[in-house]
Amino acid sequence: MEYQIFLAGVGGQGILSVTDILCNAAVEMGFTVRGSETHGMSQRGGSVFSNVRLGDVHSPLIMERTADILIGFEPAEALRYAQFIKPNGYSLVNKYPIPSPSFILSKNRYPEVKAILTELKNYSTRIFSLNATQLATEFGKPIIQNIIMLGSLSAVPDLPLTNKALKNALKLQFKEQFYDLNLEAYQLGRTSFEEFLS
Amino acid sequence: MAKLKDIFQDVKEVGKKNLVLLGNEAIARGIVELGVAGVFTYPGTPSSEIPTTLFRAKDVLKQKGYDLYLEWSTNEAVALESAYGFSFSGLRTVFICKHVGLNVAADVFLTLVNAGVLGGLVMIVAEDPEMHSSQNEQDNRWYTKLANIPMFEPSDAREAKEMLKSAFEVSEKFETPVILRTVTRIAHSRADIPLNPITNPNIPEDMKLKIDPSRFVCVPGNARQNKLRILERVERISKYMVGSNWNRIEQGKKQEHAIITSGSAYAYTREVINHLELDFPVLKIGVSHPFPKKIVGDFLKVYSSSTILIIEEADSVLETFVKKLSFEENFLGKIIGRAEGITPPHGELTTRKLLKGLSRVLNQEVSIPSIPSIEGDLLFSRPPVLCPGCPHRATFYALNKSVPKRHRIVSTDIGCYTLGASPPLNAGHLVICMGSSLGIGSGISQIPNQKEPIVAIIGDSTFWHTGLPGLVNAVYNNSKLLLLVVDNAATAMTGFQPNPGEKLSIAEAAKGVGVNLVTEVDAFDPKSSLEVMKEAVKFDGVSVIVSKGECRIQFVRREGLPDITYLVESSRCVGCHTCINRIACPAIMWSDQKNDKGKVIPIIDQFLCARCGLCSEVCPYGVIVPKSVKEVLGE
Repeated sequence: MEYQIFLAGVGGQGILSVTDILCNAAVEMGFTVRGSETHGMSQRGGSVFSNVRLGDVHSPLIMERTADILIGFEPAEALRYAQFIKPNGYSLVNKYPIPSPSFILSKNRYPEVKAILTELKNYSTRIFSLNATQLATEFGKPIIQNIIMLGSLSAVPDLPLTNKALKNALKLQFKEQFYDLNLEAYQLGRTSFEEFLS
Repeated sequence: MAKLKDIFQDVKEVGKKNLVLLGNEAIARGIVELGVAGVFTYPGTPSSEIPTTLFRAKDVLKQKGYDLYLEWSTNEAVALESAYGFSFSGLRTVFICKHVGLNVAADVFLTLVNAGVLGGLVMIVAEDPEMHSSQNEQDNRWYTKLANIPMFEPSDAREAKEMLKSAFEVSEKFETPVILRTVTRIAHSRADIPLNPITNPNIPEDMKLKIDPSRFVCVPGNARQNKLRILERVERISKYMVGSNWNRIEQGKKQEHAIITSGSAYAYTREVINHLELDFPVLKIGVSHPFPKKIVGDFLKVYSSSTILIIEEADSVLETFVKKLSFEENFLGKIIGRAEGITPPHGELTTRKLLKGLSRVLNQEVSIPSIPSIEGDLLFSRPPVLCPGCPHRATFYALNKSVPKRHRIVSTDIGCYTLGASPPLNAGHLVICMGSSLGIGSGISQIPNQKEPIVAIIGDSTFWHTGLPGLVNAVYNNSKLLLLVVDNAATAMTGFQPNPGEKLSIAEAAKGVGVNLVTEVDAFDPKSSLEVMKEAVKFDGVSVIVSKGECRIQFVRREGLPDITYLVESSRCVGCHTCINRIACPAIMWSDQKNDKGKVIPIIDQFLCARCGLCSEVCPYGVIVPKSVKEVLGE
């Protein structure tokens, strides 16, 4: 058995925290875990990715066209790494766009998010999107868009990580006083995905 | 990343469960499991999280009675010298650097190996194939031949920790330093790691050192003896490693091919074998130097009718030595490696690249899933950039206002500020390695009839690392240049390690070595600093400006974001776009709004904004204004 999650976004979006939660939930459930991630030259604003691999795995990197889930914390970043999703895998996309400074400087406008999502269909047609950043801002804490995305991921059919293990790992990840808010964000993401499925 | 209390927990508490750790965290854990007493390092990606994890855990370790001396040395040469000095205690000592750091330390390294050590000394060197965060792609396995030093090459994070133990055993038994080589995909990879008990270093009450001058004073007479010793030592290590499980043959059912692989390449090899059901025998090499002649020779003999495939990451090191041995052993079979296209000659190895390579060399159909291409307009590049609120952006903005971009040569250096070389700041024409800004700038300033002003840019940590000798050189040789020290009070790019700037003043050091014009300016006050820059660049000699502004990430972590943020008053914005064109802050974007002249109005993204206020300094019409956060976000 092999299960792979590809996370992509912009430095500063809390991708590594979500990676931590996924890995901790996995090891709690007894899986072999391998993963890899971007560190170093991009504290904020650069393109970053992270890989989580469970099961009978050796290398820390997901091979192109094999990821079960692609979770894009930013639409263009989802597209940048779309080559990693398997043909019937799930793409989960935060619709909140973040242009890059060099792109802004070139006076180009950010492409239509709709067009990006359409393009993503060339890789896999199972696409779920929501504006997690906007929803998180309504919570008064834009950064927890990552937990909303995690919540959505938790409802993906066939995900070998249980809701219980994920919630437990979420609880241990951050300071206790943030748990209620995080749980609310997680639940919102989860419910949205469940509605999408039904 | 894992929590410190988890990484350094006592094993009893874990039960049988493994802990998911980053490769570097696993190595940090390994260091305390093995009772290491001294760690010496200069941070560099991808090695930095090893010492940083230990540094952050100092109190946790102290509570356990663990006495660790951890030194942020000024550079890798000093770090290795200090580690060497410390190892005369007989206590276990670790030196850590990134691949190019070994070049900085090469002088001390290549001689101390000959003299050998009295206590265990392991050098952990992290390479960066693909240059994710490096200026070159350098395969340090070549150094092992030059230095006659044993090298351990783990294939993943778990092995990295396990091999550290063996590396110390070899180091202590043979009185030699040993290299543990990792790469980005080990250092920054995660794996579930089994934990062993932490062992406190056994420090004697009364430490007495025995240092034999006939061995450790490396004058020619003694050095000749050391050379003989090291040649003999390598032979002994070679014999000792023969039974080691780190070099092992893993059987396979199909035998038309047989694979020899080492280090990180092993993981991709296993993936490919699983995917394609190519169940070939594999010789996995974990200790690549001394070159394991015995087991490689045996493997060639056993599989003399198979085609040998050599799979490695980075240079063709393994291939070179296997092919040499095959010649010596009269091996008549076929050997396929990099030369035949099985792995790419540059960049990181991946499973897909290896599949492609195999499809080239195997007489077998290999299916590689095709990747749809992306519509050209939809993707834009997102290279690393200076963060919102970065003090370097403010300094370079002032530089551009005072020393016009078209009329200057900027020799920059290694650090976050290297990113300032990109448009629109354009603060950099060249960068080579740590500390090179001053030497290169000084050399350019000596070119006859070269009239453009020279600006050298260096960060605070890099200044102490290898900038200082360049400054002395420039002063001594009457060079004419402006040294702009961008002092953000942090070694930021590698994750906020301390540096000598905590205690020492760069301005005082510059004055001390004879610089006659030294000024400190506030990076976040560009109006004042640009006036200072205008004068300094005209100075006939070496002038130094220390532009001080704390790294915004470090500041915000400690103080939180200020209560004042900035907004573009859209009703008054003339649409000149100076803010975007001059500073390109990631938080300033195009809005959907146009003003009455049809010009698009920029907007400040409040999620990304670090509230430094530089944009309000830059706006020529004063329409970027401070506002209370409550008013804007209703927090």
